Formats: sequence, structure tokens, C-alpha cells
Amino acid sequence: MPVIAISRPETVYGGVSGGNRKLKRANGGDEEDVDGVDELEYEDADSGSDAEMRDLDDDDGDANDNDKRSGFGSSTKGSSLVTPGELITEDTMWMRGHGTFSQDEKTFSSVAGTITRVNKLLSVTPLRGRYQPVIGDHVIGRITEVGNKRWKVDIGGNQDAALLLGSVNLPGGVLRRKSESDELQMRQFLKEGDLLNAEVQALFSDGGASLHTRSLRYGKLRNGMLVQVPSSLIIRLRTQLYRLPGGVDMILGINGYIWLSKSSKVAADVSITRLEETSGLEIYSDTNEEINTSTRENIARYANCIRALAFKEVGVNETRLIAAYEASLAYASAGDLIEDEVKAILAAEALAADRSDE
Amino acid sequence: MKYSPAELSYLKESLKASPPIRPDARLETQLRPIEAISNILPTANGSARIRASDGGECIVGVKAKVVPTSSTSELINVDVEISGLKENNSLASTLSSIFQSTLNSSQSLRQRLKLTSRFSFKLFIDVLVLSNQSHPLGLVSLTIYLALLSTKLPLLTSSTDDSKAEEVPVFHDDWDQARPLCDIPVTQSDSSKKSDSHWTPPLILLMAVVGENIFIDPTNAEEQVASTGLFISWSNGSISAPLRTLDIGSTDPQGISSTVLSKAYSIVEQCGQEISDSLTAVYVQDEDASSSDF
Repeated sequence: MPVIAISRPETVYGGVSGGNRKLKRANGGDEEDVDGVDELEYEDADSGSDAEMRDLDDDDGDANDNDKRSGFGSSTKGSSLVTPGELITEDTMWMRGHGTFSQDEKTFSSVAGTITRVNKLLSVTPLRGRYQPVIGDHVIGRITEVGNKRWKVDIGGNQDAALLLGSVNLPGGVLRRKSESDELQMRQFLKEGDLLNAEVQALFSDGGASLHTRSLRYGKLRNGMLVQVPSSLIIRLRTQLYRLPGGVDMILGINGYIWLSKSSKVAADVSITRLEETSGLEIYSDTNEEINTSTRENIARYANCIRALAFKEVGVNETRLIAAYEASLAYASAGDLIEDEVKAILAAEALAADRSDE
Repeated sequence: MKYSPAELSYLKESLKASPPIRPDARLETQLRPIEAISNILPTANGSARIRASDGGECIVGVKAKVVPTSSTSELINVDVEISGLKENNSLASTLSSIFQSTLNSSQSLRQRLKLTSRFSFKLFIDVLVLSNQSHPLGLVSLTIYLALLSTKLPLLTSSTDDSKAEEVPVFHDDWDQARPLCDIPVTQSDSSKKSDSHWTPPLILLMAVVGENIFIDPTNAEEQVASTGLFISWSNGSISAPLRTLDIGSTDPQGISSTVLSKAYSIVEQCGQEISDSLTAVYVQDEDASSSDF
């Protein structure tokens, strides 16, 4: 196995002498050479993506070709892509929502994304970007600050979420009142750097989130490692807790933080009625259980599979991850999975499995 | 970046295990993939850019200047700048001094820079670390290596012996006549015959020690649980000085045992040549590409 994989960049941004090569490539028209076909490599993919957008417009019917600018024809179907600064409509009947701005009575997009329309409200949903909390989301966060009766939690959003002292389970049962001594020993429960999973309980008017961990499903995370992917790759599903083959549990945080850990003996769904009996101070313990080598290896392999899916911008879900994992078993050493070619193969396998599943 | 105690202990246990399990399942001798290109700065004598897969990026430019040999004790000047850190930051000055002393101690490099009995080239190596997640030593070393490989010096046309009468060196007008600073084994057959004068730049490889195990190219998380960092230099196909420990931001610094040291030796012996060959291949490809441009 190679000790190091080195690739030469196919695109050169702002390159001084690289300009030469880029020009040559553009003239030679051999962009297709880039076999990674990375959608986000603008310089090489430019012509390709333009064509794609035009195709999209055409799909919506010829009648729309002229009124794209005036009535944003195809856009009303909600499938059209816009780029920052692109004119969406000149029509004044629309209300401008998130991701848009107006100038001279015209509506422009301020982000790259797809147009969504609810009645008269027009907004652009960004393709990527920071996580935007929604009530009920199961997220994973990291404590950044211990403050007055609350913790600040980094959930990958625009601002840190708040976790109130009253929204966590304290040792001794769910019905216990919070006392001043609890306020003084907040660091015993959760301190800076700690990871926890929680649910978004409420949103503030400025978009900030308030979390709660009032269920045994939520709380401090142990026995594993964290992998981060863009939050746009995670879809909201019925459950975010998965038991994967190989003795690994996964919590798929909607905010793109994924927790891989050793399978716990307790079933993932603990009934809320048993809360009082089980919530001692050990739910805030920092010590890991005994984890055997094969579980650790599997966790590392899953982590690499998740990174492979994220590398190709493939959304992460259980089916795809398991397919990628099974495909990865062809590589005896999971260390091979960090190479770009292998990542592409795994992502393709995952997508294929997902399609045949449907 | 701050990690939770549970994460750190999981990581530490995994890395201490035998065989160790790294968080990305790499082998002890395996580096993360990088993206490398040489000769990116047309106004420099040699340059390179390397991007690491964790988002780290480093650019190196090498410039040469003719100086009277007697006027300077150090023919190689290395200046490291790390974006986001002040110039007097200790990390940047540590890196500068590591590379400056390593390169200056190479006799064959000094020999190559000598022009006449009075004049020499002085090399200015400017390193810019645009971003780094883990300790930049390894990344900087690979980039300097590639930049030095691509360095070309103009061909001297005046006499090399000016011991009797001082003579200002005159160079060939044609840049195509410039001679490369290093000997590049272009083909397989060339690489096998190594002459005495053969010289390639030193590579400095950073490793992290955890328990009785040692890992090349540590990630940020691995650095946090490491007891210490260790770097070994590889030049001209063998391990060479310096060999030093380095603080890589470990939370629990400790000494190292002799077993770890011998493991480190074998790791460098296993991958030193392969890394330098891979980078040489990048340079040769870039050279071919640029010559076919014209």
C-alpha cells in the first residue's frame, strides 16, 4: 500500500503560472479528463453546469424561455437553481423571504440554492451553509461555555444554542427541583468540550435555539468518536439512532455531527418512566466502558465511510452507510479508504445500493 | 479545538492498543493524501504549493541572490509565516530555525550554491502557511522539499576562478540553460545510479508518540493525546540529523522510550524514500506539463 497519495491539482485558482495550464485545458476542451468530476470545482465545471441549468429550464417547457426574467418562469416550479446576485423576478407581487434581497423593486438571490415558494412568500434555500435549527431536531453539540443557569452549546449553527439548567436531567430523578447548589456545580454535569446529544426545544426570535436533554435518549456522549459532515447531507427521518452491523451505534445529528460509538446494552429507546431509577450521576460520567479492538476498528471504518460519502456530497443515511461499509470490506486495511479514488468508489456503491433499495 | 474527556480517552486507548487504531484507520506509516503542485510562482527560482486533506495549505517560494561568500555565514535563509499568527510567534520562529539549521548544515547544498571563490548564491526560502489544522511541520517540510526540487539557478558564464582579481559573476541570458539545484532522477535507470554529488533536499517527518506507539503525520486529535512529538530528517536515502522532540500541543507531555525511538527509525526508513519519490514524480510531471505548454 502506498505510504502517501499525492495528486496534482486539476484546477488552479488565482494561479499565476497556473493560468497557462488552465487556458490550455479550456481550449483543448479536455475538461472531461478530470475524472473526479467534482461538482464544486467551478473553474473546470463552469461550462458543464451552465448547460445543466439551461437544461433544467428547458425541462419546464418552452413557454418559459422568455419569461424567466419577468415572471421567473421555471423558478415557480421550485426546482431551479440560482446563484448569488441572480435576478429572480421583477414582479412586485412576491414577498421576499430568506436568501433574497431587493434592489429597484426587483428580487435577487443572495445565496446559491433552490427557490422555494409558499403562497406569495419567495425564499431561496441555500445548498450549503450553516445548520439552521428547527424545533424537534435531534442534534449533537459541544459545550463551549458554562454560564448563568445555562450552557452554551456549539451545534454548528450561526450562533451557539442554549441549554438551560432546567432542561437537563439532574441526578436523582426527573422531578427534582433545581436548587442553588445545582447552579454552583454545573461543571460537574457538563463542562467545556463535552459532547452531548439533545433535542431542539424552542427557537428564539433571532434564530438561536434552546435545547433539552430530558430523556435518557439524550445526554452526554461516551464510548466513541465524532465525525462532522455538512448539515445539508443529513435528512430528517423518523429516528436518528441506528444500530449498525459490527457492534456500532450511530447517532445522526441533524446538524451534521455524527456520533459513532460502541453498541450499548440498553436498547436505544428507554422508556421515560424508568428515568428516575437510571439517572444517577453516572449519566454524566467521563469514563468510557471497555471497548474491544474490533469495535474500535469498525468505528474507524464507519468514520471513513461517512467521510467518503461527504467527500462526494452524498447524503448520509443508514442504507447508504451500510452499503459503503460493506463495499469497504473489500479493502482489508480501512486506512486505504482515505484515498480519493477509493472514496469515490464507496460513494458510488452507496448510491447504487440506495437506488436498488427503492 | 477542545475535545471532551471521553473522546480523548477513547482516542488514547485506541492509539495505545497493539496494533494501534488511528481515528481514520491509517497505518502508522501512512500519511494523509495531499495535493501538490510545483512551480506556481513565475518570479521565484522555485516554488511549490501543497494542500493537505484536512484543509491545511502551504506555499513556498525560493529566491536566489548573489552575495560575496565572506559577507554571510548562512547561505540559506528560511522565513516562515503562519497566517493568523503574529510574526514573532514562537511556532513560526521554531519552524524557521529548524529548517534553517537543517539546510545550512548540508555541505553539499553549500557546495552547490558556491559560484566562484568569492561569490555564492544565497537562497531565501519564504514559507507561507495559509491554513493548518494540525502541526504544520510536516506540511512545510514537504512543500520546501518540492520547492527546492523545482529550484533552478542561472548558468554562470564568467570564470569560476576569481581569487586573483575580483570579477562580478555574469550569467547566461537564456533561462532554459539554467541548471537545477538538485539532481532529479528523471527515469528509473537514473535513480539507481547515485553519484557522490547526488543531492536531494532533506525531508523532515513529524511523528506523534502515544504510549509505546508512534505515528507519522498526526492529525489534530492525535496531537492532543500524544505524549510528545518527534521529528526525524531523511535526506539522500538515509536518516540524518536532526532528530528532536517537539511540543505539538499535547495535554500530557512525557518522555519517550528507546522502543519508540527504534519504531520511529523504522517508520522513517519505510516511508522516507517513498515520500521523496512521490514528490519527485510530481515535480517531473509538472516539468513535463510546463515544457509542453510552449
